[in-house]
Amino acid sequence: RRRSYNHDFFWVEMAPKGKTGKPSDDLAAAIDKAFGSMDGLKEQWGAAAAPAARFGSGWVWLVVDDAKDLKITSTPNQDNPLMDGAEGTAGIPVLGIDVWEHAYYLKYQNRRPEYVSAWWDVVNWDQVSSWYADALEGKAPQF
Amino acid sequence: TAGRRREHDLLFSIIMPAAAIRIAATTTRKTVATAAARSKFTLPDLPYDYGALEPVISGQIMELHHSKHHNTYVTNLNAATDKLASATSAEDVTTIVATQGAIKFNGGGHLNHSIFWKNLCPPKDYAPPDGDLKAAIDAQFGSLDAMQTKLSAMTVAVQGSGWGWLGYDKAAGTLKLATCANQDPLEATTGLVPLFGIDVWEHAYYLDYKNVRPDYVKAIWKIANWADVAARFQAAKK
Repeated sequence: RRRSYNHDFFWVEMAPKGKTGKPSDDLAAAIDKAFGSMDGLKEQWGAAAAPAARFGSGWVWLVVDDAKDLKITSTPNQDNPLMDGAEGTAGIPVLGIDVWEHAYYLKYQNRRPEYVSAWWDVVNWDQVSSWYADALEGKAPQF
Repeated sequence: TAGRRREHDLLFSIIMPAAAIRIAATTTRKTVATAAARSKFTLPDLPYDYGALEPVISGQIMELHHSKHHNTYVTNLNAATDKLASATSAEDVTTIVATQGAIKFNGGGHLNHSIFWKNLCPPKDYAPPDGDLKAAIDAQFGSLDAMQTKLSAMTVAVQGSGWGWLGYDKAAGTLKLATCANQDPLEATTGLVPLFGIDVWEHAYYLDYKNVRPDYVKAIWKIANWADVAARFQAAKK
């Protein structure tokens, strides 16, 4: 639960465009079950990451909850869903996006939705799939 | 639309007196209610050009901060208050409650930024506090420098997004320092009257100072508009 956990997670879950792999069959199936499709995930993710949904600084997460289902949740400042008493849904994070202004301001200025859309191009699906498999066994990403 | 309704009422009342009086009365009540529901908050103009606060805050930041960030708070505040008015008319308590977050956030954002633009002045126009305000600062904090050092430290330490404030405690009759998270407005949150605010949302400084928030907070004192702060202080003391 160190302060740096979120950023350790963030660097590792991303990869350069073209080196991002793809979701495992299990993860793809779970996404379809929870959100209808990958597009469904992206739409709900975008809504959760919008300035009107997460006021101020924070993160949006995809977690594996106690029932082993995928859920989207968000936390303020540098909290994450592994912390006791954190806002939103508790669970093991397998995907997360930093929506602090410092994460996008130099390139996107106030245009957070544009950053959130573009960010999908650098998600390291191989890593996320591996974390998903671990999460089903109750193991959280470790750094 | 309210104007058109009134014209329509007038026409009707000339052509169809008796019936028109009843229709006009109902429409006028609705017009008044609608006018109240559609109260429009507007983006205030800056008292100076976008580039006027350089080199402390760049024109690029000022333009984004004012025309995008503050403007969005105004737009969203109007939308949220309209939604609240409709929900109140419909006695839809679920929506009334659900709207509170957006009203606090966008209302706070509009209040805070409206104060902020006036709190700042071009560096060439800087003058330190004098008179009653200087006396109050010295009495409460020892000196202007001591107050600035203390408020700077508190403001830099804000976790995430928020504001640092020099405020006035009406009950105690003293100046006080405070910080608020996100766009929580000082007076509604703490009861203190806002005198001078420092925005430490990253959008307020990132393009110029990157992550070095302490440098921004230190520099902002060079563009503090103490005349504006003094005017607020006088008004608060009444």
